[in-house]
Amino acid sequence: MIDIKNLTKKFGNNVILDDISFSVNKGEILGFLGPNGAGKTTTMKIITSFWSPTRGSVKIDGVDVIENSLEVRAKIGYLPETVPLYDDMRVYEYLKFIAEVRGIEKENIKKRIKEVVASCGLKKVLLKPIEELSKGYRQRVGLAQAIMHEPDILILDEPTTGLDPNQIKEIRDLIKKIGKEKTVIFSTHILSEVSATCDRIIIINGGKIVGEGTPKELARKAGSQEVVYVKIKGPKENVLDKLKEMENVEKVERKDKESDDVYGYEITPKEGVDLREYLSMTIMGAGWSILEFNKKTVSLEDIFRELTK
Amino acid sequence: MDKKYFKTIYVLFKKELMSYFNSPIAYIFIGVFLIVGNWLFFKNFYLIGQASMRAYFDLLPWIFLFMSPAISMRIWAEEKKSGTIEFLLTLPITDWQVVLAKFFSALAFLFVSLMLSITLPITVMYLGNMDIGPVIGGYIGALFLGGAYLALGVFISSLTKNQIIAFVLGLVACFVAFIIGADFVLLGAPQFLVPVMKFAGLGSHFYNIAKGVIDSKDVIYYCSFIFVFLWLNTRVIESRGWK
Repeated sequence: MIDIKNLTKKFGNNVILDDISFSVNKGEILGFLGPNGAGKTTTMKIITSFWSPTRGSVKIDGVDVIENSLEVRAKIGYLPETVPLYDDMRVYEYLKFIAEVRGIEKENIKKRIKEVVASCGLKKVLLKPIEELSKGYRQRVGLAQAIMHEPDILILDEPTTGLDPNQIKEIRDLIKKIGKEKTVIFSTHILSEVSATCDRIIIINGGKIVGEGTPKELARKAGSQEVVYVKIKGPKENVLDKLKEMENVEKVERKDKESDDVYGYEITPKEGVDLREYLSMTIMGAGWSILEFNKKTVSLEDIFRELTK
Repeated sequence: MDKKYFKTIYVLFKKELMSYFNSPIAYIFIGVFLIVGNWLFFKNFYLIGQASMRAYFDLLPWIFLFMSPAISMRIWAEEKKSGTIEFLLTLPITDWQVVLAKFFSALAFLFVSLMLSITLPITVMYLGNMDIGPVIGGYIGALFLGGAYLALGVFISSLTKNQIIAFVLGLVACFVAFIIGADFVLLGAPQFLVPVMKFAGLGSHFYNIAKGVIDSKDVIYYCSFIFVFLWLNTRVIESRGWK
């Protein structure tokens, strides 16, 4: 649905995007991840034809964003990072303006506004001036604006920054709901957000794509594995030796100390082995006790840090 | 260019015009314009003792000089500052549609202000026998002159995100464009430039029309002046993100 080829953007000698290519399929929610200044916003500005690329092309359903800009723009709903809204207008007034300027038929405008207001939860603030809205409501108005014309593609630039946890959840649920029918690209630097919402992730750093795939695929690519964390009460040297002697153990590390004989250990098993049952039997068998026990999958944080180093 | 093209311009135009009247500034603005205009006119009106609007239309270019940049300063600068320009220019509309909507909304605002000064000729007509031709010419000329000032001001507003800068630069630019054909400037100009400058200045064309003579030469002059700056405006908008 979206095809990006060899996209490069320079400002003078400053390279913001360096030859990136990727595509997004219909109905996919794509998370665009990267540290600040990585080029996420620039990519979005080019897809929405606000900026033109220095080199490369963006095609939506085979239509080029520069050559047939208007046709493409009609298919896209866009929420810029700064959530720009016309502050002097009232919410209803603003939504009506959006509906009109997007060319929605006059007889359908009221109905469509009603739907959008319902799905973005704007009923309470309809008659308020936009400048008086809280950050969370602004974000929702911005989102309402983006989905007004039922676009095939939604581009959301950091839609959850500055919101409180409840609002973040609401916006995320909304994105998920919308993403069932539409193609969504959204950027963020909050990692838990992508794993909670996205089908696929692209990690970008310094204007280059450094990782791409589902959260699981990325974990595999980053070369990381599952580890087991266990907190054991027992004589510290003996415990470590015993753990190291166990079969199928790749690596054992002593991590945190709670008291003189209570330590946390991180055990990396050989690939594909579930060590937990055997591990607990071993520890109990030696007469020690387990105070904490869990299996950790490598978090997105680790992958992110690994890839954007 | 179908019906939809103009409908979109109309929607944008309506929104722009509404945003003038959404803020108290518009009313203050109109108030000041009417008070200053009436005061300066009637101050000398009884001294001269003629039932003529001539003095008013001599004054108008100078009042407009301050008023037009004040109307046009926010038109792009505000969008740039608040970031709404990013929303506006990613809508499925052409740069021309936006520029035209913005220009005509500013012109409409000026028109409304100007129409509210209609009490002036009515008063004068009541006080004495006035020739109506120059008054109508004066208003038409004022609209053309205001349009030219505004086209220039809207263009300058697109160059900056600071409204104050847009105002001051707009004022200077309008002043230069107005003064360039004035007699005392022409005196100091090289001989071969005189006819060119005389034609290029905004002022002489206004006084022609204000005399009640609507010459196609003057109308074409104003229309091309406006067109050139609106065109430059679209170029500026198009070149976003190149720097």
